[in-house]
Amino acid sequence: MAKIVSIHSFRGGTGKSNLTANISACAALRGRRVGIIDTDIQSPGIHVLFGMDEQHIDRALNDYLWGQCSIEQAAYDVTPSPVTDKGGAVYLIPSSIKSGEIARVLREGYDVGRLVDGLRGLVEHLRLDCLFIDTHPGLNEETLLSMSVSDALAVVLRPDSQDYQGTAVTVELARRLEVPRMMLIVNKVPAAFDAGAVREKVETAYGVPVAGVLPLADDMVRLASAGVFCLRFPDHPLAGQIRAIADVIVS
Amino acid sequence: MSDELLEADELRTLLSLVDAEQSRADVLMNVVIPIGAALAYETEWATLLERIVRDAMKLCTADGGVLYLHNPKTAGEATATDALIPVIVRVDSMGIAVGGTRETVAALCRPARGGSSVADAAASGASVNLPDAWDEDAAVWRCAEAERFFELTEYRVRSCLDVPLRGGGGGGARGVVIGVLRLFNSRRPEDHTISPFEPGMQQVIESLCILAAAAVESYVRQQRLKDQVRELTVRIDESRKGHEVSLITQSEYFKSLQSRARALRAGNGNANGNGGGG
Repeated sequence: MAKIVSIHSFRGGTGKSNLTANISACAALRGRRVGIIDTDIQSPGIHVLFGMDEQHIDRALNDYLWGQCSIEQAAYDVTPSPVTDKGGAVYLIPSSIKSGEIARVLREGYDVGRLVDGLRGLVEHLRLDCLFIDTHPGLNEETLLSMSVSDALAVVLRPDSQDYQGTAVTVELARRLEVPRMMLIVNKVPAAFDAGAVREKVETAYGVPVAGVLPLADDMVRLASAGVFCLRFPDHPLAGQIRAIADVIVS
Repeated sequence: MSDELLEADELRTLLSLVDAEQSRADVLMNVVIPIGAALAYETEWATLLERIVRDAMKLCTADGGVLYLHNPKTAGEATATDALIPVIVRVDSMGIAVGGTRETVAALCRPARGGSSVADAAASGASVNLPDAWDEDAAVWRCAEAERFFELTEYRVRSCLDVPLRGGGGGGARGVVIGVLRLFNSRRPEDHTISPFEPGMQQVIESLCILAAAAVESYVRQQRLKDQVRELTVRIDESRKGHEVSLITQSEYFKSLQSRARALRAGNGNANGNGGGG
């Protein structure tokens, strides 16, 4: 049975979309069929990491939500060649980057129930082993809904006070929604910080396992939106850490 | 002596100076800088300090070395009024290697005292090079910290070089002095006799000390950050959290989500069919 995994953060700038792309790619490198749905409708971006030309995005999640296409029609096969070699696949359902479409969502909202149907449809039609949801930062109806249908929730946070507070609220809501598995990923940790101490403090504070403590990596910053880091630099120590997180999440 | 011979002598002198400079540049590039790079990556405090002394001794074939630091625990924050504490002592010919990872140096060496060459080097920020540390006029060793060492052993310090370790923080362009490296009894490689520290070698050791000071300061800065994160508390305002959580969980939307999530996980596939309105 497919796993639905929400990757969430309370605030923007945590590196959530970048991590989602990398974790998904690592899971696919293990020979899995992986889907990624960009539900960050207000500020989409994960498609860029997979090299999708925005001019060629004919249909997006928005079209499905307005009833203008089926969910699988909005899914693009973005399988990178190293993943193909391993027998895996990556499908991406982007959000529209057209400003009119974004404004419409903000103005009118959308039927979040249709989003749930879409998630289930995707898993079925694309025969996915795992579906990752790249959520909008913060807490709104869509993010709560994503959590409620997820088998696992990974919350990305940075080691700073605002993220700590917001993550505490997110974790509590996820508990109330009885999300079966929850984990934290501490990202952008300054190099001088002791990763072991950060892990221990965070796990103790939230009572939630930490799947990984990732450094603020210059190489990752340099690559920025130009590609999926783990595929470009598979031998980099950071890629190894992300692979380990992916293994924990999909295990 | 003819003018031609004079010119030839001058030329030879100039050429030998050029050779000496070239040879010093080679030592810097091939020996000192690699040592500095290795020091910068050293992750153990005691090992870092030991390496500074050991590598400097090796460079100038010194028989002994002592590393003094202002407040060894906070080397990067030293002030000129702090005592210079000996932290590493090595004397190869006597098989002495104390401090760092080994036993305390207190039994062998005292903190630097005013008027000594170590204190002079620290106060002036400039090296003190003593071809012979025994001051016959005053009948004292100018490297006075070694007194206890003299009391305890038959060993005598003759040639002595005290080089300040200048850090980057404060103290103007030259930086604040965070410690002093003392090297003594340079031995000629060919016959092992004690000889003064040559000016060229002094410059090489001064270059090494710049890199060593940077490594010490960098280590202290990193350690301070690590200490901060060890003390880091993940502070969560529980009352604010409770308020924010209850605002959401009391909404009808959340309650319906809860019941549908429960049904979904209980295996009722239709539970998600009628999502909450957007």
